[in-house]
Amino acid sequence: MGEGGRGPGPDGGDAGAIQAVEPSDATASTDATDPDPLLVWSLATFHVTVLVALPVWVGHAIDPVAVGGLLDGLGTLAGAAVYLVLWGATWWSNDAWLREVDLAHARESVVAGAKWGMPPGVVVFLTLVALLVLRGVGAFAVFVAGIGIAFAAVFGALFGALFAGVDVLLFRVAGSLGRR
Amino acid sequence: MPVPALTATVLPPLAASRLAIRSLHVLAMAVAVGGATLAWILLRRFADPSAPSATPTDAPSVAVAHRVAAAYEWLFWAALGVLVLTGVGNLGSLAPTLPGGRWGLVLDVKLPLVLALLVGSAVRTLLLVRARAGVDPPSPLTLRHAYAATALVLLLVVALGEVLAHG
Repeated sequence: MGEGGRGPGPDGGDAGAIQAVEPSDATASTDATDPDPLLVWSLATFHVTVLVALPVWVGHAIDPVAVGGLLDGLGTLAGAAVYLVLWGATWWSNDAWLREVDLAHARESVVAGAKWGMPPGVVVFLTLVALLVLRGVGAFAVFVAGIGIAFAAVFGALFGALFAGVDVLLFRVAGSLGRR
Repeated sequence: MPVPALTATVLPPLAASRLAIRSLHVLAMAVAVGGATLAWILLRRFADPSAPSATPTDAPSVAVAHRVAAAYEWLFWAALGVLVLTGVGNLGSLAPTLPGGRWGLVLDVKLPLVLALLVGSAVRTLLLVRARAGVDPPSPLTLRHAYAATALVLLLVVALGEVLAHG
């Protein structure tokens, strides 16, 4: 549910609401509670790019050989497929997340972020399993899928909550810059 | 000689995919840098209230500048998504043995710069989103500085990319 135009949140959050976009904007939705599509797109891409670039940097700084081996094992086409699936799933889940919350309210944003972080986690995991099947390790992949979905959901929830917290923080930084 | 065989001889599939990845990488960076510069110039030209020519009737120009900036934000995030994808692809083309030494050091400088660019850009986009929603709209000067900073950081990333590619 959108919270356009409301006062400060119960957790002392920023009063700014971002669901409503200017009526003259061609991309504005007719429903005032819909999230700004630009916000959904930008945050989804922000999450995906950080989720990929940060481990590559940390991994390369610690053990470049391991990063090289991992990239070599994954392959260009498979890596691109996993990335695009992650991007699409995150875009979809961010849209659902931002329909539920207002970034001005930290606690509800993080809780809903955990909930909506689960689907991309599971989807990416199943994509990796599908790649294993395509590489001819079907029985092993099915075994892994059986026990791995729960872990993927938990990891997705953790990342969802983490990124929701980061988004709330950045939203407040933007608010303070806007008031200067 | 049949054309497919000729193509395969001239450009093997692996080389073709690497060429495609590099081309996408360069194109995406061109969009990101060019768009940031354009948004900065537009905000400087049309949306600076301190400019001598600025009057209250310049408000439509501010709206136009915001619309151009919003269009750029769509392209910017698409470009950054492609840049990270193709950047990792470029890294993968060197795998399994990634170069070390100075090359590795430059990469270890470039990647955190890219992460800083991502975080800063998220704030910049949120500034614009808030402006579109009419919530604590930032001053045109703040947005102008944000796009100028984006262009400068992107140019720095390009320079480091050049060092990685050509030494």
